Amino acid sequence: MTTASRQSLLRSAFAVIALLTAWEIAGRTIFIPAVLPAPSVILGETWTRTLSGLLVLDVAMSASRILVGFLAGSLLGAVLGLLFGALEPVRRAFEPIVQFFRFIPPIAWLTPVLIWFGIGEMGKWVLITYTTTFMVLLNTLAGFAEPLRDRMRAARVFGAGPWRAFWHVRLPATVPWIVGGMRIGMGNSFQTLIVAEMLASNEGLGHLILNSRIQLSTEGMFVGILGIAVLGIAADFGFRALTRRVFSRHRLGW
Amino acid sequence: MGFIRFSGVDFHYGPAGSSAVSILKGLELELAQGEFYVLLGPSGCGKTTALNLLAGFERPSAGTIVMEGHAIGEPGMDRVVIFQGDDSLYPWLTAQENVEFPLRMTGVGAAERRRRAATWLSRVGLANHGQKFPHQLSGGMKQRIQIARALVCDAPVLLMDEPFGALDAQTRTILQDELVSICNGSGATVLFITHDIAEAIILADRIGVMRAGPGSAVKDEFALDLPRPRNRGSVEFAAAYDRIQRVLGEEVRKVVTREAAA
Ligand SMILES: Nc1ncnc2c1ncn2[C@@H]1O[C@H](COP(=O)(O)OP(=O)(O)O)[C@@H](O)[C@H]1O
Ligand SMILES: [Mg+2]
Repeated sequence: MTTASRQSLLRSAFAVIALLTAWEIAGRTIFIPAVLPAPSVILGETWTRTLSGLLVLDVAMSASRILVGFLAGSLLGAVLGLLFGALEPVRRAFEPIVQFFRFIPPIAWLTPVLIWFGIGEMGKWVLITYTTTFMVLLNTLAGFAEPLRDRMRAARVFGAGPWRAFWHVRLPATVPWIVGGMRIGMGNSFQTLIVAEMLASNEGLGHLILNSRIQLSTEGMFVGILGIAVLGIAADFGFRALTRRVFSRHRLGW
Repeated sequence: MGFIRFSGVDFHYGPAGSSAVSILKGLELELAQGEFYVLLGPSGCGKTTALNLLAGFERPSAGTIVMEGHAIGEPGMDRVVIFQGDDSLYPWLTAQENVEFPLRMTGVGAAERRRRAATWLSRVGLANHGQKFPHQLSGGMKQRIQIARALVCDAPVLLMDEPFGALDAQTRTILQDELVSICNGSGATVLFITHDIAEAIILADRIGVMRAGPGSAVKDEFALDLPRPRNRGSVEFAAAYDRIQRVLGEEVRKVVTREAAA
């Protein structure tokens, strides 16, 4: 680790500790736990829920829903994006439809999805897939706007037909755009997931938040809220680490 | 009868009509087999356009371009291009893989590919940089990759568009000398574009000076039969420089005057 990055890590750690201390003091003096539980109380609640296995179940359900929807949406978005990008007539034909659906937020689909798929897993998968697909599709298409004139000309000069030029030049050049769209899509997936779990689920971190309100357990709500943050950070960290390895040839910007 | 021949070539962008600005007008150009021909001209006169036509990236609006008796068609490995700038290299491929690219596209086996690319990488002085990506290399090294990528094809014709234009003066001089030793006796026919008179004299068998556009064509030609490698400090070099400068200088002045008026 360089001196500069160690210093910035040290500063961040200091800021986090300062914030937690201030919160702890406020939680113990100014507020009652039902309004703002102190970090130590939330930690205790987390521990209790971990021991009982309930928290593990919630986290596992939320994570699995994200994983399935995210992977399906990424695949669908990338394939459609590449198809639209490669074939101008196809893009022209489908563009109005994409633009139409783009402005319908995933949550607007919750009620029809409940009717079609019920309260089971499929409904959440569909909603998260929908969210991710648009992000990946639009970002992949944006990648096609990148001018590759000389790289494409070189491909033609050096013996590549249209299909090989696409496979060996356009596709690799679009990889950072696809992966970038996936990362944005992952963030949006969490929003969709939590609302879907709050409104139509019997487990998961979203359900934990809403259920805690019904049970008047503010510390339970905070376990859910902070759990989402931790899960999100872990997912993003894992995604970046994995894509850095898999796409080490491409400069992803992280 | 030339090996490559431009006859009455006109070119303008977009559809024909009164609004179309003519870039080339009645361009006549003839390259003998194995000749190193340098096109010299003020910037914006249409040098790249002429090269693009021969490469097959663009089609003439009128006239014909013929190579060995056949009209120029699609771009291909018989006329390889060294592009202006480094936007044609593949940043996700290493130097070695960039040089292998043409061989991969033509189905050469992996071992043979590696061997031939490595040979050319060491010939352009990049033997120890094969595993680096373009962004890890200097501008001069990137142009060396381009040269290796083009020469690995053993093409009969090389098209070079100001390959050293963006390099510092020292690097440029070194690469010019290296290009002379690589091309000497290779038998390849070369169309080389530059706006640098000294570069033209170091490299060329023949130099064509183009008129300022619009509607440019070759204004004057100079044959240089000085032995190679040529000495930049010699009397013959200075004399040739002077002769060409008179012709080119007049065209550059036209461009400068026009730009000042606009
Ligand atoms: N795609 C294009 N559309 C319209 N005009 C162009 C285009 N590309 C180049 N030109 C014009 O054609 C002229 C010749 O360009 P070019 O062949 O690149 O000149 P050179 O290589 O001699 O500097 C220039 O005036 C330039 O502005
Ligand atoms: Mg040019």
